[in-house]
Amino acid sequence: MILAVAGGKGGVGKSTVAYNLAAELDAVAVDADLGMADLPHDHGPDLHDVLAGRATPREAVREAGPVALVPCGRTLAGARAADPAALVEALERVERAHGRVVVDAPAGLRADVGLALYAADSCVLVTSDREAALADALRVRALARRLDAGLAGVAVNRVLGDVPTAALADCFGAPAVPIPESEVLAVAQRNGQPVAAIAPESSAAAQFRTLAARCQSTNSV
Amino acid sequence: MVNLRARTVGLQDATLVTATLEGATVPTRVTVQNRLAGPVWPPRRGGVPAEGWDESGWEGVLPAGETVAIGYACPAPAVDPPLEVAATEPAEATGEAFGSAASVLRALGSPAPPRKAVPGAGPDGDGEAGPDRVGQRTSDRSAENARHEADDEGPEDGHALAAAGPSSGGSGCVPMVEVELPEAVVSWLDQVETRLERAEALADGEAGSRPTGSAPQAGSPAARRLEERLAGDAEQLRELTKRATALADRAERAEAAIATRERPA
Repeated sequence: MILAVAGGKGGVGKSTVAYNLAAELDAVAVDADLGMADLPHDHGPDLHDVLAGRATPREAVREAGPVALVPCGRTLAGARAADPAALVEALERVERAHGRVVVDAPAGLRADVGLALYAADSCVLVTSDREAALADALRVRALARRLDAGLAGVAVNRVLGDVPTAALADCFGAPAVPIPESEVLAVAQRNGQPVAAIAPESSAAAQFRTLAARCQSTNSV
Repeated sequence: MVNLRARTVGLQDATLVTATLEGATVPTRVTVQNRLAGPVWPPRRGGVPAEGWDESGWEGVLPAGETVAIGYACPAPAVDPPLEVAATEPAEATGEAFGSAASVLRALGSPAPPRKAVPGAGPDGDGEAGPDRVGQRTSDRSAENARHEADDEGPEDGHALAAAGPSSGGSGCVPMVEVELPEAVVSWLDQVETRLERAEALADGEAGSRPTGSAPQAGSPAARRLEERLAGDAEQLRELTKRATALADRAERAEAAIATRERPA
């Protein structure tokens, strides 16, 4: 299973959702934001290296941390040398080796997002409850339809109050799962941990479990 | 041959244009361009321009043997003809399914940063000043294609695929060109960063080996002061992030609200 986490608007918390979903689904998280890496990074081959043919996908998987991870590169030169079309095969190879992949897709609607959605079997959209973020998420919804990536759910991130989940589900055609604004989640992400590892009883952790369950039921259909 | 028939209806301060396209013998991607002296006000779905629309016109697939109807408004007087076919080319399919990674890249444009944005890549070394909004609308794509047509991407762009679309790198991706911040803010952030560098040197045990020799010795009163200062910096930065994020969200909502009010009901 390859699941893409996309959202259109930058700053809504896609990477946090992708990382925590990968933890819940026991999947490899791939940071496919070729222009700006978000997930934890260290030295060693990364996705830029894989897409430029300098490393195999398996060499780029880090298994030492709480979530198996393929980090992205952090240089403009690396982003320029990467062949974006090679992302599809790279994701398929990671899937063959590890079973499940969660792709942290970039913001926007360029081919880097398109290729992640093209490779994916299904997707999760991340938005905030703000109008601009919702509008961008709808655009990605339209793109995901064209690229045959079924929408498993919409994560409405960093919410402070009530969210009209029924109306949002109607609009997007998939369940809306609110993720609360959460200090423990922010602390966990800063420390490269899924929130379930440091605060399993928190509401953020519970919501990620709910979202993961939606993703699994979509893929078993 | 693709046949376009268009009519206009005068509204109070705008013109309503309706048109039909037909006559394709194979699925054909058609681009039509508005000829009125104003921007296109396209039909909107869920608050955003319907697919295929941008400020200059519409692009979509005309299935073989079928008729497609389109319509839009424009804040300008009618001209004759109001709309014209700018380009046609065979489409891949009657739907808009993508058959390959290459077709996705062609349709959506390469995300690679421009050559000039890569340090040391060219004589300029400056990034292209492309539009750097994230969440780029698909409707802006064809206008952007036209703007970047003349840019020299260079023969090293070996990809036949990247050559098919512009690689502005800015729109739709997280911006490669840095956003300018007010001087006072930059000055404060620089001071914080200087303290951070000293602290990191201290933590790495490199005190004294740094070129400036400005990191204090571990355990000294200066080091303790630095530690306290950094705790305060971290608190302030987090507070700033919260406030700045809230203001940015409000600004975007206000911007969207103003833009909506500028349209006729």
